[in-house]
Amino acid sequence: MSYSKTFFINKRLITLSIFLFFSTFLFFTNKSKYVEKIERNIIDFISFVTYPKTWYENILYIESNNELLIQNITQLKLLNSKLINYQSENIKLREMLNFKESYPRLSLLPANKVNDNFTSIFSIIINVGLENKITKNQPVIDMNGLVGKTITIGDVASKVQLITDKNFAVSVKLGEEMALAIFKPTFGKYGYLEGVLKTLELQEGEIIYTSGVSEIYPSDIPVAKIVSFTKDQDKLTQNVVVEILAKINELNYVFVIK
Amino acid sequence: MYLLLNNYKIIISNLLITFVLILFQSYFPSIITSEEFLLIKFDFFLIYLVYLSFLYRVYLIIIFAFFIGFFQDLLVQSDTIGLYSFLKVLFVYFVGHLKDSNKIWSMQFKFLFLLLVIFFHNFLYQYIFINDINFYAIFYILIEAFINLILLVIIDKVIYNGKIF
Repeated sequence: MSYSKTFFINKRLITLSIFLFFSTFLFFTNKSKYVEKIERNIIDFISFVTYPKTWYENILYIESNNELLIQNITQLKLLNSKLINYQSENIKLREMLNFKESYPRLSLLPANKVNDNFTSIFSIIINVGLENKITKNQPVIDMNGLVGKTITIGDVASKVQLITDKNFAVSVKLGEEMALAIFKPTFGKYGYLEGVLKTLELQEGEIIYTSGVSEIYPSDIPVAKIVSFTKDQDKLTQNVVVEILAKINELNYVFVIK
Repeated sequence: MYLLLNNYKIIISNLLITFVLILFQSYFPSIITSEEFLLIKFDFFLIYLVYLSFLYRVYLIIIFAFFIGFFQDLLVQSDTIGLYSFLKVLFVYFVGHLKDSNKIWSMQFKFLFLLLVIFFHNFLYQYIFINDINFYAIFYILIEAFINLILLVIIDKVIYNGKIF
């Protein structure tokens, strides 16, 4: 194509563009229904042409929104589990409150188990101490029964000797006759009773309570339940195996009897 | 530029012919169709533009077509000023292609090309005014384009001695 022809074609294109622009401008300055119709059609056409772009943008938006929602769901799930935990804690605390009210003649001081004692598996540390007017040899119970007694008192915490400690012993009463015996732990959640006469009628599952004879433990605190009992001919007393009622391995909240 | 600045006689004569053609066209009888607002008309001015495109430089005729289209808009349909200008400018541009390739293209292809250009010119014009473009409307527009093409061929053979075809 020669130079002059290219020049004319370009000139033609430039002229066309300029006058098409002018005529389009003139056309759209009119305010008639025909122009509106064309405007509508152009809008529809643009919408149609840009539909894939809009669709893709929507997909991206949905994707990012989805990620955000997943985050929110995770957060809500965590919050929900936290609330469920609070609910169960609340139920437990209410039960403890009821338990405390069921012993009106005893002054119960609630305490939390801070940690297991590092030096012995038969003791725990609770978050009350001298500041709460705790003294040595005060009984500690949970909602199920006797847990132990305080042995060392700090300002804000105390050490509790557990009922499962081999050196632990407590005077208990059992049977319809309220006969006295001594509870001693053996292993795990089990223990035995010393001094139960053969004549005493026992039942499996029977709850034994503190006798109140001792100066430390008030009477009628549940200690254990009878698992089995046997009678040897060469012995004057029965062999009574009991199971500790307090849930030693699941301790969280306890009460100190003041 | 020669046409616009130096040859005043040609400009004036062409302008006069154009005005006469537009007036003549507006009083020339049209064929009524079954479609509302759709009339089959003889577009003498369009044929004249083809002739002018072949005779002078196309970009000058584009400018000319714009102003005459604008004048036609004012006369025919003042609600859509700019529509005829737009269509005439586009029409002349495509006729310019025909002019460039006149010696290369076959007769049949030239007929087909002009038929399509006239058809789209008329279709776009009618599209603005007809609410529902149906098969019959398209058919009538095609007939109109065909009639105008025949008229163009006749005028080309009789008046221009086959300059276009």
